[in-house]
Amino acid sequence: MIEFNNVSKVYDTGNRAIRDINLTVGDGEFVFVTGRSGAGKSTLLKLITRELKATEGEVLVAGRDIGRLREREIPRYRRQLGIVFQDFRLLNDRNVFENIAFAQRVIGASGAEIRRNVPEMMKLTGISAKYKNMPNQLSGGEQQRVAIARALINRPSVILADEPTGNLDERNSEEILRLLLEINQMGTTVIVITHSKQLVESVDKRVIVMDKGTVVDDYVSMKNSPPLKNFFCSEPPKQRGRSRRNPEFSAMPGNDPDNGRRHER
Amino acid sequence: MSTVIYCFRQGISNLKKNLLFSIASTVTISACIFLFCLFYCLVMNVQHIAYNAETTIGISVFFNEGVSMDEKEAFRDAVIEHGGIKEINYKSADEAWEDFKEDYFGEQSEELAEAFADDNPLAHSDSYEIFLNNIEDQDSEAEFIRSFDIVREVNYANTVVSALKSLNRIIYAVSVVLIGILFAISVFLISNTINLTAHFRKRENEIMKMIGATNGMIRAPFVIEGTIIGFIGAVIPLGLMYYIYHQAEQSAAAYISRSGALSSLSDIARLIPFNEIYPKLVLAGTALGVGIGFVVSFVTIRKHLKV
Repeated sequence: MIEFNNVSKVYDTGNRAIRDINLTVGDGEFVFVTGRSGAGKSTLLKLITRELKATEGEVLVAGRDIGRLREREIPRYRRQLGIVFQDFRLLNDRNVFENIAFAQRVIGASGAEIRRNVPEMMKLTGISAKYKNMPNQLSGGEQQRVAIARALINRPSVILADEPTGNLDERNSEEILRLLLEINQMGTTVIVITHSKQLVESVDKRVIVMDKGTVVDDYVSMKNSPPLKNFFCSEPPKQRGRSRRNPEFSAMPGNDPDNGRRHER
Repeated sequence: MSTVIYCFRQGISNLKKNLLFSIASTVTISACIFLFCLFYCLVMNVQHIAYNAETTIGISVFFNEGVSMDEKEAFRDAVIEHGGIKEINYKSADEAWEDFKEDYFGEQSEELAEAFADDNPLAHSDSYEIFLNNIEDQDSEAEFIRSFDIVREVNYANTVVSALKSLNRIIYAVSVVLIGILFAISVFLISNTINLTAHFRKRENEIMKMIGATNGMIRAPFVIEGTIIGFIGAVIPLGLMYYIYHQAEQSAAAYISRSGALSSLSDIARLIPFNEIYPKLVLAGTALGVGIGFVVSFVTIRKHLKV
């Protein structure tokens, strides 16, 4: 579904944000992308959304090299993606219904479609009762549900969530994660970028660890496993517990598990 | 359809968000279009009067004393043969005196002109009045006529017309400068209004981009906003011009009739009829207002589309 083949991204400032990454995310997969600040997670996300173009290599989505998309093809491409932001990015002058409907309006959906789809999404995300509320009348968790409903309404094949629980407390974070897992179970590919170890370790899902622009680990986290490593500090990570590495990871060219700080592996 | 309605609503909502800036832009465009209409009317009317002068007055040819009727007729034939003549009429000295009496003395012409009863002051003023197919040929035709020895004097509207044309050139130059300045201010203000709205809607535009809105969809509310500003900016001066031109037309007609001007002068000095000039003003004014609004907003919003 999503493939990074020898992808590098160098900004105009000379900063090399992504270094020769090889990565595959299959259809219907749920993946955490994690790493320290400046590890290249956001750049990775922006390469998928085509906000940025790879300097080298190719990013394939559904078999298509999105680096070769023409400017006018990008909007249609982005309709395959649902994007959830840490700061929710809701429109403060519109109520819940209108915020969700907004995503349909901008792609030219008819009024009938909007009236049919919005209540369905509000029900799915558990926000129906607050459809008339303005964003400032909602809790953080509720706002993020609205943002997820908005991301989902155009039935994207991929949900990209950039720190979706970054502004939420533990309980709300769990609820949002549960919602994302439900969405994933319906067949949507979900990529969650997060700093939260707790979030990563609370479910058995694939974890891609980035550092200094490279993928330094790719494994499947086991629920309730002990902390595997501390990717928030520069200390060498400790021995990992009950988790298993993605067998494809080491086999991929360019992905060297010793590339980062995981020398002990 | 729902997209069009949505964009239109957003455009109107943009106007409300920046009400003061929108009003300032509208007023400036109004001033620009008002001046345009005013100067357009002036230039067109001066041109119209100049044209009337040329076509109504024609070329009058007077002959030397003692020139026989045969020679005058030979002259007429030569002029006709030279070509480009629409009409050529002979006016005897007596006819000229009759016309003069009527124009200058009006209903009391007989009483006032009694002093000249037996002595025609316009004796030897028999003439040919020549009208051309093409007014532009007047100078060359006059030159041709002067080449005849029997011709004493050639009169035509060149002095008046050239004065009117000079006046027109001045009006035109002044109008270009003033409209140009106002046009630049209009562009600046509309551009600022759109920039300000784009700033208010930055977050919304970013979200739209990420959701998959096309540039056209993002741009539409801004272009609608600019176009509405331009349209309202055109409607106000056109409404004013409707009133002003009507008044001017009526005042001019009343002035000419009050002053008892020559019948030929009243033909010349009549303004272009309202029904003839106003549709052109509506068309040009609306195109100008809507055009400025559309183009400036379209161009201004381009730099905000890069997300």
